[in-house]
Amino acid sequence: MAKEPEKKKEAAAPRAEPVKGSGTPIVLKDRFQVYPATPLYDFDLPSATAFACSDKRDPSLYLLAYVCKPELPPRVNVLRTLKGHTMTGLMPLLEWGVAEWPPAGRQCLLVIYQRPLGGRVMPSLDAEIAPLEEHELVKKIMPQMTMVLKELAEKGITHRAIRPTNLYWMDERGEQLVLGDCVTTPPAFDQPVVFESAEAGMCMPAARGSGGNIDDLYALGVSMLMMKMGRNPLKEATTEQILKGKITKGTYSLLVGDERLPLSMIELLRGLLCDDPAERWSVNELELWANGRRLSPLQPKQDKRAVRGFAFLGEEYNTCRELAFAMSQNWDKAAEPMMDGQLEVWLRRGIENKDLADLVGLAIKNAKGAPAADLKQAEDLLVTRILMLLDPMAPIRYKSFSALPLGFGPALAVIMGVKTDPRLFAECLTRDVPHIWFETRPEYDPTNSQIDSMFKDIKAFMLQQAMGYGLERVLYDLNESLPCQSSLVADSFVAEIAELLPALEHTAKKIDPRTLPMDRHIAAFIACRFDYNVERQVTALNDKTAHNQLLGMLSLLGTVQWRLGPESLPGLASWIGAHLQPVVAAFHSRARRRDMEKELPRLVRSGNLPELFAYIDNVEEKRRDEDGFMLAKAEYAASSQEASDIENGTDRRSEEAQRYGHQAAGVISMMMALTALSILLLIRFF
Amino acid sequence: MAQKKPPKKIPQTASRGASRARITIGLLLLGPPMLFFFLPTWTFLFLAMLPTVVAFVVDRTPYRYAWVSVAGLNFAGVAPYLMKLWFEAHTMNNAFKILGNPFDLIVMYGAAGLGWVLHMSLPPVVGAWLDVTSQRRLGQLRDTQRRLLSEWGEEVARSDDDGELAVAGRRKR
Repeated sequence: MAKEPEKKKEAAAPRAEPVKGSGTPIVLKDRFQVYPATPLYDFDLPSATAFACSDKRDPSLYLLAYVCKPELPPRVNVLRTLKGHTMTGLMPLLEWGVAEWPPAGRQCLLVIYQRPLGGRVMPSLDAEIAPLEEHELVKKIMPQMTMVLKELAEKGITHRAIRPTNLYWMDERGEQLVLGDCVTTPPAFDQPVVFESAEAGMCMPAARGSGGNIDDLYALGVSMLMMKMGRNPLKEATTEQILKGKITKGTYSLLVGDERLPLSMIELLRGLLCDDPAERWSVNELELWANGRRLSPLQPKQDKRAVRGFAFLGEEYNTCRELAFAMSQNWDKAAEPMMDGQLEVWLRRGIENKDLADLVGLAIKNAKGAPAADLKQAEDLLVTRILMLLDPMAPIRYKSFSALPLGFGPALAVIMGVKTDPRLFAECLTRDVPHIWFETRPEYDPTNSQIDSMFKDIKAFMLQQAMGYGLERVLYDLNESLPCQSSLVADSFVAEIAELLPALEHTAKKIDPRTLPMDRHIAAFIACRFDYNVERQVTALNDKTAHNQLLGMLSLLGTVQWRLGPESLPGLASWIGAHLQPVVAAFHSRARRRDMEKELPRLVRSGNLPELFAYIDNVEEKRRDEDGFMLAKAEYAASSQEASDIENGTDRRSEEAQRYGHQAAGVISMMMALTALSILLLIRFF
Repeated sequence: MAQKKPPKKIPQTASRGASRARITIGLLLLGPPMLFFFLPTWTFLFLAMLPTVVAFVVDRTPYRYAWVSVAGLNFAGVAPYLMKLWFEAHTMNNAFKILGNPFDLIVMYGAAGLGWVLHMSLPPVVGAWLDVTSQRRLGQLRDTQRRLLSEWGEEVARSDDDGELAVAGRRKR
């Protein structure tokens, strides 16, 4: 779990005079000047750094720019929706874009916000602030928050970063509370587990998914409680303790403890912190409450407790959820009590849930029937399935990987962004773990079927190791607005397919031309985001021969240029041209090669990849070359054979000379005889 | 209507035997009178053409062309004397008279000798001619190969078998 940066502890209180930028600015979109020399520590986020910013059109405005970490995928869809929208209760997002960021030595995503002048509500989660009064929370803050959450819900957006350290006073008098940034990281990535429901908290931070508005309401409830108390009641607790506490006691009891709260706050917090998502307050219920409706507070539901506890690693567990959580934390030890039947017996006799016991028994029987070589794998899948049966609300858990279905995308994006080992993720998909999760849902949900079939498609992509498929394809399929992660365009933030070729053109100017302008990421990015079928080009890209691979690459990039432009890409064409030697060499005719070597520079200068491809991959020329070559080969072979016959035929030739010589002598001799006879007869008669 | 019977095939051996019998009968009928009426000619030719007979006997090559070469020139040498025999007096005395003249014999047998010379001397000439044409053809072939190499590269000289062997070799390595 990410913590707020230490530096901001020193700068908790709002400054008397807001800081203006100084030094040489970086200009974004010819309008916003970001000052790398003027950091705003008060506004730093765990995964984004704040800098002073100004607007050329209105220099009197105080702005701030967040510089995102390149390895974390931003929420581009949310960025697009929120840009330029003014929502009461939300820090106004004015602009975003990519710019060369000198401190990082590369291009970074910058997000420009209007700067809140009243500072952060809570400098850090370890800090203590003056508790907010009930009337201030109920009359001023909750209506503001209700309005913004309602507006976000209408736009289909979840904030997923509501916490006191990301809440700001927009004005210096502290009248308007606003939600801070929610776009610089994957959803809920920086959220401490205390602000997440138990099921989302069990996930890896990047794998919580965008969730729903009820997740924002839950986080708002925790934030309101902390603002009312003026402190974090669980600041000493570890993540595991918090999750365990939420499962065993429920969130409300865990957080409120012995704290005395006003009745109105109790009703609000009981509604917002309800652990059952189906019963948790929605935005409408919050709005009704904000408008004055008062009901009796929701009472927490208790999980069914066992008549006798289940002993696991020296501790006794009385509910299925508790046990499932404990087992998920001790994965390697979990299979044993399952396989020896203790768990089934406990479910049958202790929990007295015959149906669940039957399902567990069947899963164990199937696992035992697995071949000896696959036993370990079968045990892992058994643990996964049984944990899902024991706690249907929990996320998909497989060994140390845990994610909600819609969190797989951001999880993979972070795994690949920070370059950690994706093996567990891949294993989870190839072993159909998400399908087991959908199989074990207690109630039918049509959305689940859609997501399940999406996972099937994704698995099919992942099982193909060719370029354009594999994990990279899964990455872009699961993250529809993720920028291309290829190192070739890493500093250009290519979120749209149309931006890819200009980015490669930009890269062409500075890269070692020996590098190929294609890699697994670019191939997968095009295959996933391009609206036209490029199956043929991708297949060629994976051909065994180098020249066909190059043709596939040129064809793929050429198709993108043909459909989306730009018209001329001389840099990229030159970059590709440097690799075309094998393609030229694939022609047998030396004359054709010489012609191509003369013509290619002209085509490269024109920067038109489709034209370049059409010239190189001329089917008629190829056929003519192939036919000519076959004929030449046959002619060479025949001439070799004849030459060899001549060279090795001395004896035969001398034999022939002998025979022909004798024949010739015979013929000459006979002719002379006939001539002599004829002359004599002529003399005699005439 | 009665079906037409296929014509009976006469066995070829029977046909050959019949023709052979006809020739034999012909020879038996015509041979003795011919031998009798042309006896001086036959005797003269036999003795004058002895070198040809010798050539036929001594030639051990598979094709046995020597007697043809000798016979041609031998007959060219014999022909003037044969005319003399036929047009002066076609008698045994005249035949022996011609054969008894050493000068005439030298002419007839000398011509046969020339036949031998022709037979011995032509094969080296033909061999030399064959060598020259072969070398010229070899030169043409080398030119063709050079042209093919310059136009299509080294791979034009590689046979498919070579390619397969090279691939197999690489796999083995």
